[in-house]
Amino acid sequence: MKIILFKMLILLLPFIAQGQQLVVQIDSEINFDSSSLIISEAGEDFTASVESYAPVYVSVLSDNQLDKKINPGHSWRIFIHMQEIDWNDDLRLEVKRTGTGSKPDSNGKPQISNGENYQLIQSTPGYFFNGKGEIAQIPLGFRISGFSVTMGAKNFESSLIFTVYDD
Amino acid sequence: MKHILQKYYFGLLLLCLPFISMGQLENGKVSVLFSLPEVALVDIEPGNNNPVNLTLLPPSESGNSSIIEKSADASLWINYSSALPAHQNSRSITAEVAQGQIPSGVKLFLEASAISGGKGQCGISNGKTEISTQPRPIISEIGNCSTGDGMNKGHQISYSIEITDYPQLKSTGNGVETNVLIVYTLTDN
Repeated sequence: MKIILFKMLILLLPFIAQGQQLVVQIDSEINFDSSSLIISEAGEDFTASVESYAPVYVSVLSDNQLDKKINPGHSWRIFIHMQEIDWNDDLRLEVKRTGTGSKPDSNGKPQISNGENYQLIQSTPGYFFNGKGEIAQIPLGFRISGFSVTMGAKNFESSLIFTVYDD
Repeated sequence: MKHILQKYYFGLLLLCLPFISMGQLENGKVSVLFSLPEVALVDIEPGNNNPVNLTLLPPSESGNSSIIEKSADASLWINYSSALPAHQNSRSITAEVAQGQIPSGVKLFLEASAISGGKGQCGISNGKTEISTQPRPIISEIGNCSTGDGMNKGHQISYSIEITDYPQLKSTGNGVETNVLIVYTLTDN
């Protein structure tokens, strides 16, 4: 009997471990409006920096109903880093959180902190912000700088990776 | 035999647990797109009240073959910003007479100095160049660059005239000027 119960416990462990799974969802791409790259006088370079013209939304959600009920205040941290596809080392991409998002299942105030000032995104993961429980539609703003006419007319592309860790 | 099987079963489950518990990490991915546009801008500084006056004076002694040429001060500067698409090598700045007529017996010349300041691949002066109604390059090999804006940035422009045919020279009379408008164009090579 003890052996049977022990085996059942072993079999249940994957589900318990998997119950701590959080997922991060991103809404839309990040685009910068080229029309805001202004040179007002011959001889000048581009304006110093450009901000993304529409917010990008990040949601941290649990895909396990059991965990949501047992541990609704599950603490987590978001890390962010960049994977360059066609980029320039002089370009600086920064991100900040511009709001708190919302609780998807309640009217409560989201518990979220840090990430409210622009921070540089690098090729290695860096801590961004943290929160508790499910939080949806967290708005992010992006700013790019370091560009110049000396780079020529060119399209640049990169990928941003958001990773959520248990806190 | 049964106990041995149970031990192997338990050991296998313990080995699998790390892979199962990795479900605590999850990634979200988003693309970043950023475009730099093509740029081609050129202007002359100062932008207003920038006429250049050139005067031919009579010799001080009769019989002298030379006539004193008075060139204007080279107080004009040419600025430009250039960002090329990948398939294009370089640009040039040309100059031409757009309005007016250079007096007979005289040739007008223009010379751009070497670049002062700027960043990137700024252009190279073509040296002293005769100006006519046909566009002539005065600065070449302009790549992705910006000269800076204003006086003492970019290339200083110097004008000069030479008498090439004395019999063609005619006095315009006291106080009468011949006005010539010169246009500068940043062109693709």
